[in-house]
Amino acid sequence: MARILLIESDKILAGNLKSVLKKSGRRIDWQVNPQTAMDSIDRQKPDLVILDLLLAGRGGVEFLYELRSYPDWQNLPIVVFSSVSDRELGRSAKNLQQLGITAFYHKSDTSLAELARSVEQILQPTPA
Amino acid sequence: MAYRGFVRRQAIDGNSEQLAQQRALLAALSDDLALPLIQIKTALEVLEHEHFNEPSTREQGASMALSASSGLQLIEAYHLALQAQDEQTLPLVPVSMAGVLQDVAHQLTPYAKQYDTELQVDVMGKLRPVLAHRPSLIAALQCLSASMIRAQAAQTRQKTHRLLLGAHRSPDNSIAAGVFSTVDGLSDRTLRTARSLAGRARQPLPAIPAGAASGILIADMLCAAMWQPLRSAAHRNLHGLATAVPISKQLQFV
Repeated sequence: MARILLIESDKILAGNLKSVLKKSGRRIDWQVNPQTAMDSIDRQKPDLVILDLLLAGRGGVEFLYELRSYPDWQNLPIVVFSSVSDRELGRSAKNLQQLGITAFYHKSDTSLAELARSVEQILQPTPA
Repeated sequence: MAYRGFVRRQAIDGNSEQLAQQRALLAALSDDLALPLIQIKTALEVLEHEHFNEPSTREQGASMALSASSGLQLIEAYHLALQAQDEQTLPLVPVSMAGVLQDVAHQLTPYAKQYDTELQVDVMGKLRPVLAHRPSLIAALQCLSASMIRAQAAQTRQKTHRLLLGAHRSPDNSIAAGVFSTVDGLSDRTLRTARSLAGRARQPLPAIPAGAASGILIADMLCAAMWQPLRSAAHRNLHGLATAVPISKQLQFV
């Protein structure tokens, strides 16, 4: 069973996301801050991470820099689900691309169904 | 004299500091308001799949989701307006005004239906592309239209309303693009007054019900950042608010 790590600071939003993602039979682990998320990645070895950019303590971009610095996690698919739009991010959006994010979604104009579809597509095994 | 100048400078500095503080507070407030709206939007999506079996409940849920999305659109437009004010010049690209009006009408149709309003797009003549910052133009027309939908429905208790998203060539060789309806009391004078009353009065535009004026003022800020602020205009015997988009001489050769 594929494992997804959800890094989201808001409990209610995380609950709604989990409800929708669980329907596809995925196992969802939820963390609220980047430090515990990093420990969770080492322990649980998720197949995909859904990341909010505005987190308590450290920002999501900083978290990504650290994550990609470890050889084990350089290819881990990351889906950014952010309350900051790519327009507002400006130049930082390019940094995110360089950090190898798989997809970027803005919370205000993305439905959970769209996010879940994207996650399923990413988790589909690539034909050999 | 020198002392008076010093006092005046201090007053200006004080004012700009106060404005900056208010702006920062509003930006933070808009961020904080977005979160409960996203919570409602996503919670409705979860409920829709599991508990909305009755058609009437489903309809209510869809209506709540549209209201939450409309609030989020307004907040996003406000963020964009703040960003536009910070940037010296916005990156303008060739944009088809007819295409943008169609997109906005398509996106807002479910919201308009809630207010028994039919959205129509009317582009008079063949218009050349204009140079615009596409996200700002779309956001401006979205929040202007949403405000006019609510304002029109609040003015008369008709069974159905009509709102026109229109564009035409103006005599001064620019393209006037905007939103036109049967809403009365929208003149250049009321707009000027509204600009000065923004943030001070609960209802800066007397013709518009409270809660709809901010969309017009945000659209005004976005259009001003690209070209010119909104002004009152007419289109096919309907009154409305439009922005005058200069026709690019370079694009005439494209």
